[in-house]
Amino acid sequence: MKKYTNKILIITAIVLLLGMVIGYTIDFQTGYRSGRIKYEKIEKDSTQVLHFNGLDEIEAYADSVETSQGASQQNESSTEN
Amino acid sequence: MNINNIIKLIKAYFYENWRNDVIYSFGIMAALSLIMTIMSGSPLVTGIKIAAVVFMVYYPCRFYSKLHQPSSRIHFLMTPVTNAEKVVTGMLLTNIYFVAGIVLSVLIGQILGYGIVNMYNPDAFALYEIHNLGEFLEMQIPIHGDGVLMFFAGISIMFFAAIYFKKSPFWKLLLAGFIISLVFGAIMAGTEWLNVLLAVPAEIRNGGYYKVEHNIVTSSNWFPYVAYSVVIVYFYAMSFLRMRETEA
Repeated sequence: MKKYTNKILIITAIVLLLGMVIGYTIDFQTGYRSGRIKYEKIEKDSTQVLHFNGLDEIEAYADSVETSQGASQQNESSTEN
Repeated sequence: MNINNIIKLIKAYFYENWRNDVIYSFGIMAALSLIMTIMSGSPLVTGIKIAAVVFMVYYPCRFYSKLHQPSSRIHFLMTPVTNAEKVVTGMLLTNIYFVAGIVLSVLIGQILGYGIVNMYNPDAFALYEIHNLGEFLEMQIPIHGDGVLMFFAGISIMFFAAIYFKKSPFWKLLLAGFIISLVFGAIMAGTEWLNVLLAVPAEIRNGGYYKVEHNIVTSSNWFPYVAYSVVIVYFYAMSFLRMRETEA
């Protein structure tokens, strides 16, 4: 009797591997071109260390961040429109 | 396929193994209640998970343990029943009897543990907002949805390994799994690198950090159900094929 198990296992592994490689490539290439996969540059030194003296300064900073975020969101929505 | 033969095989299994199975069950119960007592009943010790994993990797070997010893190998292979009957008996024992046995042992062990902890420290579970046995057991159910299918897929893989490897199937399966994931992982990492190289402009690629938002078929809800079902059918079919070859 011929032995098939090893051959089937190897063929399955190859088909699975090829499927994964081809599937991933198609997904990535189409996704990247259509903008579904975003690949953005984030600056390395975008983090900064902040120093506060007392709670008032922290609250004032938090308010300013909220205002600037709100403004940027408004800008985004206006550009989309 | 003759049902009488399957019943005879199951009877033969019980005749030879019932003592060991009872001992294992009591072992699991005692170990779980002991662990829970030592951990002061923290429900974070989801003992059923540990037990399920141990069961998953070890128990499918039990029915085919005769195949792993040269002395009993011939005896098992020469049993006057068809290969399909041997595989179906193995599937019935593994997927119904062993699963029911382990779930019952774990459940009783946990109830025992809960009782012991409650006896000397009634407030132990209040910390986790558990006020009665019902709430405790509800929290202990470890697998939902596709997790159940994953569990049975794991059993089917181990079932196949128990027939495929002639000696120490558990360790060989671990080694094979390690090597396969290493090779697949390396090739997929290479594929990703190549894709980024081909698609993303160099000025974005070089320097800085990137945010990749990926949404592929594998992240959809139905995918795990289909994948695990295919795995289960595939490995049982392969088990049958391998059993036929082993006998030949």
